[in-house]
Order: sequence, then C-alpha cells, then structure tokens
Amino acid sequence: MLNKALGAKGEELAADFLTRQGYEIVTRNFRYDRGEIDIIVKRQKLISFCEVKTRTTRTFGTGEEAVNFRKQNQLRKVAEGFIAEQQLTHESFTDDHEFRFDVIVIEIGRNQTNIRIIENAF
Amino acid sequence: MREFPTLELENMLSGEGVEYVAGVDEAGRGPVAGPVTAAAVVFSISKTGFSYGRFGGEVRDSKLIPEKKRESIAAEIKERALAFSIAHVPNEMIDSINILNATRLAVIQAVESLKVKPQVVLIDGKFLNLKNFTCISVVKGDLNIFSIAAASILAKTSRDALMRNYALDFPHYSFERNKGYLTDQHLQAIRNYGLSPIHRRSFSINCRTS
Repeated sequence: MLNKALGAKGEELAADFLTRQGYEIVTRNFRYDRGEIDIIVKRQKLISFCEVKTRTTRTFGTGEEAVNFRKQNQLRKVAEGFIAEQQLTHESFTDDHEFRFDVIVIEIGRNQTNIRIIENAF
Repeated sequence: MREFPTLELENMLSGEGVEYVAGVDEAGRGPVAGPVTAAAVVFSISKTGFSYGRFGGEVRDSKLIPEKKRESIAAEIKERALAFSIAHVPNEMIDSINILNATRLAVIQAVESLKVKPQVVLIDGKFLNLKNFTCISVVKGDLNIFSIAAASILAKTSRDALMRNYALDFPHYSFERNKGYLTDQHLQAIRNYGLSPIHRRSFSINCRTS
C-alpha cells in the first residue's frame, strides 16, 4: 500500500476507534499555517489533539510513534491556531477547557490490526 | 498590519468608562529548557490627554526589539504601569500538564496576581479567554495592541533574566545566549552533558509510553 493511502486508512481506523471510546470528532485534518493535526476530538471539557501514526507489521518496531521536538512545536502551534479560531466563533470557549496531545498508533498486519492510544504523549 | 501597536482599543474602552484594562502575553513556549512565563500589565488610560509619547512608539512586540533596548523599555513600562505581574510556570509543571495548559496557567496566575483588578483583559487570540475576567481576544494582539505588546516585553525580559541566572548554575548549555531554545550548540551540549534539571523532559522522551 502506498504511504499516503496507508496514512489515510490509519486515520480512518483511528477516528472510528476514538468515536467508540466515547469521543466526539470535532474536525479532521485541521490545517493551520504549515502544519496539520490529524484528528481533534472532545469529551466534555477535554479537547484532544491527536497525531495518528500508521505502520505495517513489516515496519514494526521502527519507533514511528516518536514525535520529535520540531513536530511537537508544530502541533502546538496548530493547536493554538485551532483555539484562536474557536474563540472567534464560540464565545463560551474559556479556560475551563483542558487540552491534551495524544498519539494513536495503528499497526496494520496481514491478519490483524492493532490500535493503541498514547494519552498525554507530550 | 500596523508597524507599531496603538492604544486605540484601550482608549475606546476608556471612552466607555472602563478604567482598568490589562494586557497579557507570554514568552517561552518554544524552548526545551526553563519555564514558560506570562506577564500582565495595567496602564491608567483614563487620565485625559495622557500620552505615552515617545515611549509609546518604542513599545512593540518583544521579538521586534533588540535585547539591550528591551531591558530599558521594560524598566520604563514597570515605572509607568499602574500594576504589573509576572508568573513563571516551571519545566516540571510543563512536563506534567503539557505546554498549552502550562501557558494558560501562567497567564491566569499573572492576571490574578495583579494588584489592580482589571475590568477588561486584552489577550492574544491564541490563548483561551479567562473565565473569571471579561476578556477581549485579539488576533495578533502582540503586534497591534499597546498593552499586550508591553506585557510581551515584560514576559520576555523577565524570562531572559531568569535564564541568564540559570546559566550560572548550569554553565554547559549557554542559556545566557539561547535562553533555552534549541540551537545547534545547545543540542551539542545536551549530547555531551545530558539534560540539566531545568530541561523539559517531554521533548527528549518524544512520547511517554506509560
């Protein structure tokens, strides 16, 4: 499978997984400046910014769940962009919201697919 | 985009009878070491004809002012302000609650510690409005709004001073120059000497898997 198609498939699985975990999908592929957040979800007052890492079992164990510092900073900026946008449209968006960065690791194998979520990843 | 921030918004609020307006901003979300810092400042706008004069023209987003000049402008802001407050949230806290929540905590602490309770808080759009205060959220507030630009200068100079102090305790990392931001030299120092107690762990671990 092409990397791009693999990524899209992973994001689809992650979105489905999050919904079943009781999260509400706020938006997907949120772009701001030069960055993007794969999935933004909420549950009550929690807003979670989710980075999806998809890999096949062939590339298993290559440490792809690592989100390096540059990427962390970029995700932070995009998250701030999201907050700024929300504030323009939702006046009730105040400081009782809690934010979290989660990483969702999807491992697609021949026979089975594993999904795990690393909550509060950074 | 204006070249300098103005007092237009503050003056307009003053015209509506709002006497105490606070500007708030932060410094230090991007570095890998040291605290994230927020500052809040209240000027007396209501005094008719009060002009910030030449000083007004010098106050702009802290990133646009050379470091040396920032110090003298910060001193003048402190002198002329009705009240100001600076809050640092340390690296351990950033690691445990994440940088967005830590920045917000610093902002809340700075505003709540003001000796004069502001009737309106002017805050950059990237931060959440504060629940216990009337906030006006301004996109690119640090570039356009005088009080926010002034707060950005206080936050930056205060954090820089703190990092210069940390450089004395942890001399390997040139904190006096990089202020905790990740330069090539800083990265090399981390490779050679490991992390100092003031480094944020979350950046190096990449992902906590616990």
